[in-house]
Amino acid sequence: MNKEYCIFKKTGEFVFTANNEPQNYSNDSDYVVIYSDRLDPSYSYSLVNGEIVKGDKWPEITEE
Amino acid sequence: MSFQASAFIFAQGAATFNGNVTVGSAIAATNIEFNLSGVSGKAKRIQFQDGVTGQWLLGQGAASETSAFELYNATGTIVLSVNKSTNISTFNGSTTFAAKTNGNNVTLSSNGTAMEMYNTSGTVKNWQISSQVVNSQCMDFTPSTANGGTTYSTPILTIDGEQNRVGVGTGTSRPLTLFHTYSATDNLSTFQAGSSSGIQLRFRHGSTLTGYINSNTTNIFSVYNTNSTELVSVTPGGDVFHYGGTSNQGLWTYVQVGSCTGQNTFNFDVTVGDEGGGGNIFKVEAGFAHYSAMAYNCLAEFYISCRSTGYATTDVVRVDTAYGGSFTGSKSDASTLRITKNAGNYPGGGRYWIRVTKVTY
Repeated sequence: MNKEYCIFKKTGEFVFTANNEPQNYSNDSDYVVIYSDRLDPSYSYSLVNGEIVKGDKWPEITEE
Repeated sequence: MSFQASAFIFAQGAATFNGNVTVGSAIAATNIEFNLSGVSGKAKRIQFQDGVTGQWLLGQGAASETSAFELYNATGTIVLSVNKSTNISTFNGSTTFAAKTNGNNVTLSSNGTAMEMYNTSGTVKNWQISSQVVNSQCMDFTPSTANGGTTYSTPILTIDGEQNRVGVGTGTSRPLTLFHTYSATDNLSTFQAGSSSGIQLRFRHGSTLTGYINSNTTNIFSVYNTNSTELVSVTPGGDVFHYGGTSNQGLWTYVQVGSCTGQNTFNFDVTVGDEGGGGNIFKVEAGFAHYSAMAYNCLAEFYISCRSTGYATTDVVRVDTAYGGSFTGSKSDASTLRITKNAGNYPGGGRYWIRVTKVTY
């Protein structure tokens, strides 16, 4: 089951994801917790009108 | 010697033919009939003899002088009896329906069929194996309700042919507590109970209970010893509790796994209890990575000692970076250990994990 809890600020900014429901965020009205398919950490995400929106892929790092 | 057709009637007595007797003459499309004309309550039978010694009787009421069709072995046993009203056939003795080769089957055909195994002692339970009689879509194995009885009401083993389940002790309900599912690519055994019920798997060596595994909605499984003391449990979220033989006195391991970016900050709160006048110490391991170069990542392994909201951190290893940020610990209140992923300044994302080993007050 590739699902996880996705935590966004109420303003739509992505915060983090977690395997367990983080009660300290679920009970905080400044945040929105959504149980969803696992996000791809290669991409940015945001919350728009209550829906998780997949953004751009993070740029490749060329330095060593 | 020959006779004319429509020949003769012997009014009484018996006739003996010293040789074969043929009835009929193979006339095309013509039935042939051999009539034994008797009276009700007396046998209409053919007897087979060795000399003058009877061997077999075949016919209606051959031995019983009833309306049943019978095969009688002439030594005291009706081997086969077919009831004229019900068509029920009774075999007396072992019965073989076919040679021991593949493809010869015995078929019980009805809307619900059953086979009864009856012990003539009358002191033990009899058995019925039935199909579609008690549970729909199922084969049921049912003992008689009483020793020597012939009432079969509650199956003790049920095989559900529609859902591929096997139920033990599920009675007149289709199996739910235990089922086994098989496919070509998977092989699963599943124990299923009501939505809020527990499931236990118990282990005995001889007559001694050595321990058991319990599963409920709080813990996927918990291991108990012979004294019903919980030793280890695993929660649906992946937390592992190691009780060390006494509830609430063992080491418990909490984990959180997910993804974030280098710029994100968040808290992982663990309820640890108020130390009161004592102290507590926790081990924390954590890491986040966006890239192979450590400059984009962060990690930490440290111990944090606490009383109430006071704490002190002792690092085993720590790599804090400007891009990835850092992991630190604190007490957000007297009963909560807070592990914080602190923000760096690089936006790239990746996976993180945090593990906290603790004992709860």
